Amino acid sequence: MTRYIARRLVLMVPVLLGVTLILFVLIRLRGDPVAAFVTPEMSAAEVEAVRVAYGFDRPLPEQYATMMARLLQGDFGRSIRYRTPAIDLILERLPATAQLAATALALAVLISLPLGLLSALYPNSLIDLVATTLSTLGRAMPNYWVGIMFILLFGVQWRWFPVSGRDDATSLVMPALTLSFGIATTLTRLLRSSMLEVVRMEYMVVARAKGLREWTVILRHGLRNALIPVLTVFGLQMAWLLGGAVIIEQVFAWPGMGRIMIQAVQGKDMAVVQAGVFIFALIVMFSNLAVDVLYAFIDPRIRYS
Amino acid sequence: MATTTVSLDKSLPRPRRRLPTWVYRLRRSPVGLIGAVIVTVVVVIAILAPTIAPLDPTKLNLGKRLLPPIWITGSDPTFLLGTDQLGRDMLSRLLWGSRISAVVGVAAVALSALIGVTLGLVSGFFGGWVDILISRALDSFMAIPFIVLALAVVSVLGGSLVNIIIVLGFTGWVSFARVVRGEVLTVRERDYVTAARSIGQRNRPILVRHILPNVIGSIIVLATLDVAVAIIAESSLSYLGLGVQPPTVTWGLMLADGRDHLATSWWLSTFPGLAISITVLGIIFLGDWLRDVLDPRLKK
Amino acid sequence: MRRLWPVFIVIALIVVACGGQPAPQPAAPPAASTSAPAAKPASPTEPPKAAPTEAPKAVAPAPTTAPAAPAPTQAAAKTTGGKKIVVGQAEIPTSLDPPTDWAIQATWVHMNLFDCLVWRNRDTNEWAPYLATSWQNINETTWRFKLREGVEFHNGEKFNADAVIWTYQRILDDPKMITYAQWTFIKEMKKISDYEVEFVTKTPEPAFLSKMAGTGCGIQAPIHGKQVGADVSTKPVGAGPYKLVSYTKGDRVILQANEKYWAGKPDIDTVEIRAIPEAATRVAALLSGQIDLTPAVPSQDWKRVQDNANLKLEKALTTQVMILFLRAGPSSKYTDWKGVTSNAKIRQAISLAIDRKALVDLVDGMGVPTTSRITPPTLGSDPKFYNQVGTYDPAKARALIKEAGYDGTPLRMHTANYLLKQSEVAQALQAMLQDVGLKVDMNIMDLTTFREKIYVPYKNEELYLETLGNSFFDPWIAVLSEQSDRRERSGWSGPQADEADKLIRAAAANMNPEDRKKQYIRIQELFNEDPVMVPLYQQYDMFGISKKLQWKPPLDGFLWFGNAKLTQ
Repeated sequence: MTRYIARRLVLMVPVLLGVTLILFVLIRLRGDPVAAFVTPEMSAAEVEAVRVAYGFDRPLPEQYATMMARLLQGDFGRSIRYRTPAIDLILERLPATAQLAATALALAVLISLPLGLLSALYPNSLIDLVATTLSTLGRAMPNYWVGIMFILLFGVQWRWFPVSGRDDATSLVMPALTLSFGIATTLTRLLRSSMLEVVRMEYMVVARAKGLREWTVILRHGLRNALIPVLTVFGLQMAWLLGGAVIIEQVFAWPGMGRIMIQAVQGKDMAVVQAGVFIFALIVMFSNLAVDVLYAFIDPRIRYS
Repeated sequence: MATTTVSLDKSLPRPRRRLPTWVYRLRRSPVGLIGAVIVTVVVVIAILAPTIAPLDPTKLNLGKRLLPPIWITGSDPTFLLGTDQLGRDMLSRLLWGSRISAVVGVAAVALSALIGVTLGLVSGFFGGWVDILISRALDSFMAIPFIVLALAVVSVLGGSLVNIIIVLGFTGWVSFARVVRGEVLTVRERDYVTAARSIGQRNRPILVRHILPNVIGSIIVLATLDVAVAIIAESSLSYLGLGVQPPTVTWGLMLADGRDHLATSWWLSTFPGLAISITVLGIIFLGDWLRDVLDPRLKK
Repeated sequence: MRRLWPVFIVIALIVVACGGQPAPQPAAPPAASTSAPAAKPASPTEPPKAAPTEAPKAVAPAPTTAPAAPAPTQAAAKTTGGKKIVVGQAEIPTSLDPPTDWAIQATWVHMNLFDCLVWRNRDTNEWAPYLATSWQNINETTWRFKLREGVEFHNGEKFNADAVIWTYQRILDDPKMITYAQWTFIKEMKKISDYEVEFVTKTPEPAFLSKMAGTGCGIQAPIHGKQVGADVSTKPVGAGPYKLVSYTKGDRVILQANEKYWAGKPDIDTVEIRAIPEAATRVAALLSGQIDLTPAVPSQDWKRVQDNANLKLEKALTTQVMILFLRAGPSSKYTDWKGVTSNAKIRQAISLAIDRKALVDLVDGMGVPTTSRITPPTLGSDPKFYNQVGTYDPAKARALIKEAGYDGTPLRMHTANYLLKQSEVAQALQAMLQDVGLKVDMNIMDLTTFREKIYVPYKNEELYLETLGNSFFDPWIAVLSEQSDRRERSGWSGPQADEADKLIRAAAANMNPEDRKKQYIRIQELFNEDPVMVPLYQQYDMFGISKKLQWKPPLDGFLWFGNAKLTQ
């Protein structure tokens, strides 16, 4: 297991290199990179000085090497807006985003597990109808839209939960619920179809024949096997989940990485954009690794060497 | 191939022989049928928008702002679905909005498909270092959440119709490349490809004539579902203020612009929201059905 | 199933781990608990009063209503740290060091942390003592301030002449400070004694006091400032009514009453200012009682706020004027510009084609129509221009356009889309101009793109829409853009332009207010005779306020809580 994880970690290196390359190209896409640091009052000589100071006069490969060398030291440059190291701004916000994403994930599992299970066990029943409708709607509605509706309903109409900010556990409810909505619907759909296949498997019949109680059969034999394909998708969903978090944070004024990214994008604060993209990529890669490791716990047939 | 299809079909009860198979299949799947109908209607509306729109979608009527739809008191019969915050006709804007939304969706996906399919074909077919390079690029793109990458690119290019299409196109190609590469890897070793190669055909004809037709099913399915994703993504970018800018009309922009009026003039955002949801639902239904028909392997 | 538990445990751990440290909570600092009872008896008679002179008097009208009977245990949870209010703003400052962030929403926060030498009474536009108790204009270029004695900064440092000199010298020494250009009028500063300081200006400065009360005027604690250097942006120490408890970038600022404030401890113990970017969310937070005050309540939500038993609406004028700018010719940053607005008749026609009344209706009455950027109580503001819809004469506009031989070449118009209704106003203007026969190609952009492509490089074409404020309340800055060496955006020339240039320069150094006023009135006439800017309306702001909070927005709508009160 340790060796497997080590190998996966090594494999991350080229991917991270790719991410930095994407960032490098991105910054240069907008033309002269020095433009971001120039004000109209500056003279041509001053502009040249800035160019040299940032190393934009060097050949491209050299510039990339310099950028990599800096990144390795954790130096993503300074935010123009906040005048502090960009990476600090992002890392300060990491806990808030992680908390939101993790809670949404947990909620999604709590919602989709029973819903998917029951709708597979009782196909064409009322619960199946509800599950199918919800999961279809979840794919068809932009999540910020769902968020605004939640605010109007649960925040203003019924006043169950605070509508913005990050204070206590109650302020987490609405953003997490909104974010989990999209993921939960996908998971429900997957679990339902995967469970439908599993129910027909021989080992289920065998388990029942052994005289096990119905729910033991379903949970221990059925659900565990049904979860395997679901988990595969789970890993892919992490990127979606974090992308969704960016928008949800804007809706609910949740002080996470997404909000600072949006601010940075609106203010063309490229250092922060870079650092943000990089950290997002890291999180996605590590959570994919975590999902793969979790496989082993759920499916005894999978053993990593 | 053709013979097997015929023999298969013979074993099934067929009410009308002359109809193409896909029509027959569509009739058996109500969900697919609904999807096809919705998508057709949206496409027809998008094409005919200039003719069927009752009013000019950009014409302001400052004296008639925020009028409700006709079934609510205080409405004006000229404006069937009411007016927006500038007194523009909601119905006409919805009809015209379908145009740009459709263009954004289709053009972005066409671009992703073009990039993704080309890279996927090349990667799967040639293998070797090309494959390694493209695969690593794939992994890198997959590691960055779609909306985050889109945001980063918009921050560089700025928001306009063309840029939004480019952004969505350049960020959405990954799924195509992944699927196509996988397909090519399995198809590559089939007999007919080996045969083609052994009689001395060059790479490009093999790719175009023998391999592409085999993966086209998956591409169509993916493309259909991706149009839905692109439409939602466009509206999300609009919500963040980074999408298409007015006076261009898209559903996403209408929805985003109307969001502050949701509690008071609900029709401003509800209609475009419904339009998006219904269209996306239609596309999803159609896509799911296409997947069942064209490519059962993609099911998971 | 047992093997599944790790999944949940891991997720649960993450949730708990992250939840363990929520945003810095305003845990009651030791002092707060004792201050709460002490504040009560003082509150009935507490309009900020200072020892010798009358301090910021009538800063905002003193509470007119008697403090309501304390609501029974309502919002008990909120009162743990004494009286607390939460303010929702679209953005919070990017820096708490005044010279490095001059956005309006930043200035609001800075004002509560830092006091300046002079205070501008926002209702009468008169000057009041603040950290300076008196001043004297010794000669045209020399001003001497007597400083308030016994004032302490939040960290206990003494306020004196050194603090004043250090604060402004720091800006003058660093051209990177965003407010640098605003302070270069100072030639030198002299310490006369510990509590006396003299300012020498480069030229006669009629706007001297305005500038001394302008953006970034807050006096900072010098010893602390030298110690922390640039970190002062997160660790500000001033002598204002509130001191900093915590600052989370892009999220919230928490302030606590300064018990030793020279004008008396403010009634409200804790002020929390939160960033809530979405207007809909902000209003929802207000309606649900999560926040007590927010500016910029959109018109469609007024009724909902008004119908809420706990809330009230307050309308306040801002200094912002929405202006349609025209380009009359090329300029040094855009030498090859050509366009139809170089014809003065077309520019005339544009100004005649605009229906200000319709625009004010469009913004739901949240504007005062004006044909000048100079608004009351600023010197030079005149009923001839202010609160006037101007001449709206589409027939004459059409005639002028015909006379000018307009060939249908489209006018290029740019605008950012960031203010409430800015894009709507732009689209309405486009419709009005097209109505008189001018073709307008409009380009609505996001704010940064507009800044980068149009505003900062001076690449504006025929038309652009922008709103400009004047937090100095002095006319000099409102006309500065048309001084002959600063016409980068207008490319203005001709007899009116020449006369205006002379007057702009003369008025900026004219120490006789009456005479100076006449000059500014003439300048405004010239602006309207040959328009390069068409002022449309002065904007209102609409505040949604909890009824428990006794605070009225002052004339400029600034959020200063030095004399706000909270009934519980």
